[in-house]
Amino acid sequence: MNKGDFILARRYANAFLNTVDQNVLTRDFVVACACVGDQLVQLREWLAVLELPMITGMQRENMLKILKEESGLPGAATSLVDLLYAHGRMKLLPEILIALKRFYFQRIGLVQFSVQSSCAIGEATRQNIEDFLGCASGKQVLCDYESNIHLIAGMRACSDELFWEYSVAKKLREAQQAVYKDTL
Amino acid sequence: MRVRSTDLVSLFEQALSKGPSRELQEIGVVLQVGDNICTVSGLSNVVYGEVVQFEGGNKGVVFNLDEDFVSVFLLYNHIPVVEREVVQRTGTVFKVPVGMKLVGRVIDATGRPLDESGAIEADDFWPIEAVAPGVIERKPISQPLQTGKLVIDALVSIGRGQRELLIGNRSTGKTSVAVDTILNQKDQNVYCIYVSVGQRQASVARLIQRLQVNGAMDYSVVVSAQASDPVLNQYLAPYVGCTIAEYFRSRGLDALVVYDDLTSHAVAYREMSLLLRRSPGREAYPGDIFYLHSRLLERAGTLLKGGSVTALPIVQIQNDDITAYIPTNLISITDGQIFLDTKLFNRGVRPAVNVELSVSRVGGAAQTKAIKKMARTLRLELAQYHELLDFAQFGTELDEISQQRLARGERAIELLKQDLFQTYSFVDEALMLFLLQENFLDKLAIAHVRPFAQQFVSYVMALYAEVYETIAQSKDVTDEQIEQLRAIAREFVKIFVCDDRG
Repeated sequence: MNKGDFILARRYANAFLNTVDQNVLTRDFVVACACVGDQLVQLREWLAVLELPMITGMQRENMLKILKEESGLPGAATSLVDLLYAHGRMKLLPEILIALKRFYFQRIGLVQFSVQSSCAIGEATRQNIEDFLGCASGKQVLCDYESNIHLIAGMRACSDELFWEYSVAKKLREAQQAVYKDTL
Repeated sequence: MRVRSTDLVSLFEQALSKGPSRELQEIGVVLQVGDNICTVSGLSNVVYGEVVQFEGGNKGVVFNLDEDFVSVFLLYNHIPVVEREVVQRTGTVFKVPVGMKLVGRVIDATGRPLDESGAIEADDFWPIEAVAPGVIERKPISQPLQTGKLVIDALVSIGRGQRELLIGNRSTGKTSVAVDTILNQKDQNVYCIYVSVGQRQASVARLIQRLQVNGAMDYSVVVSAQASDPVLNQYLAPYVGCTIAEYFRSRGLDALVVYDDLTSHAVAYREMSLLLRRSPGREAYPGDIFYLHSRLLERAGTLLKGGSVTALPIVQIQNDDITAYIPTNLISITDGQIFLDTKLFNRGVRPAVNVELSVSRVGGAAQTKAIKKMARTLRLELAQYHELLDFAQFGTELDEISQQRLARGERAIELLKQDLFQTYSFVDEALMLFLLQENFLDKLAIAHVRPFAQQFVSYVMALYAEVYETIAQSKDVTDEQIEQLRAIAREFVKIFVCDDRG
């Protein structure tokens, strides 16, 4: 995505958060939007077809109906789809939906971390991780856990703006960079 | 790629010894990358000029802070950066290694050695942006910086702490004058830093070899940002050179920095500004192009507490047009300029210094008394010669005095010519100018002027060494010494035989 589209997507997301019914705006709402956004990132070409001049009005309506009713998009977000379609900016929909979650969490002081580990983590360890991240960031944290064998051993926690890693992969990267720096 | 096995173990130990951090790092994510510039989202607390580290090993410097993203210029073009790559703050601005161990080394704009002589052992790391010394901290320029070029030392003398611009068309000898000045600093307690910006690698290699052959690398540092380097490196290189010079000055030493050339530096900065989408101004240069050079050159000067940084910026012009944008900026910043004229160069007058357009605003305050005394009337004589030359070209009949002035001027021009890589000490220069002033050259053929002067200097050095040494020690020529020199010159005239074979 280019810089201009990135800025535009953020503006749409902020505008939507400012104007949507605040009773509807909940954590589940934005998480659902972001989920749809993640899926739509893989279906960009499908969104681009919507704006092709050669498809008929009927076909366009059917596609929009599928998007609004069958993609899992919350009802209150369908107005966003209509607005983007009217502006000819459907390609920004995935980024806007993902940005909604990011901005909403920022507003309520919540940070979402993606925690990757080389092996499965038990409940007690998860609690320790969340306590550590909450203490270090000074905010309420929400963690998603996933496995990443490329770490070899260790863990990595990453949000939009904060990062922590202690893993064998990181050490090897640092060693490689140290050698690289010395020899070039 | 060479790796020393003993160092490899210590490198690994160093990299692997660090334990887990207790703090979270601020990161951003690469949105867009191309033309050595990255757009990064995140990094909300990053500062302007901060160095950031890319996960893939590259590094960059932050140049634009926008509401939603920051723009980062990359330091290395051989380490790839990909979209969605994580970028971390380092919390520090760009710094370069400084220290006495830098002497004799060739480094690039990031401080990495290019000469395969091992790692740089730095005393410290200094930021490249620094506040120029204030008015109160400075001392008036009073000590000369001998370039070894007779025409410059006699007519456009440079002092330690001065900024003197070298300006001319391409291939008029600007770099040659700068290199000869560096070569002449041997045993003068002046550390030299040559900054090459946007030059060809072959040219830089040739220059380094010349410095090595003449033993100049014993007191010099070369900072090279070649034409193939990222544009950020070409922007940083002059500031790196200036920072190294300031380190020498902070230790009470004298330093000379040659910036070759600031036209390429301005072009690099223009490229960066256009990539950052900053508004282009005159000739597409950004609005702060003057500040780019003024903040660099204002850092030169002599300090009350000791030490000096002398700057010799070089600027290339097109078609002898000194009224172009960048040259006029630099002329207004510096303490004088040495204009190298293409016409003079093509006529064989080398160094091709146009005496009428060249000036040193420090003037006689930075000249040794010996040369000042001997060159007192030289500028006037040359001005009269050039005026009369116009009349002579019309075929006008001139009176005897005018003809004498013409003849005198021709001999002065011939005397001021000098071969490449040939430098004179100030005593040699004073003796040569003495010959001109005392009319000993008037009866010689033009082709014999320089051999006569050079052989006279050798004659005095060999047979009247005490006179030579006295002038060297006192840096002045007394009336008594002038009488002695007259007698020596009369003696020499009788025995001078010019070898016309060469």
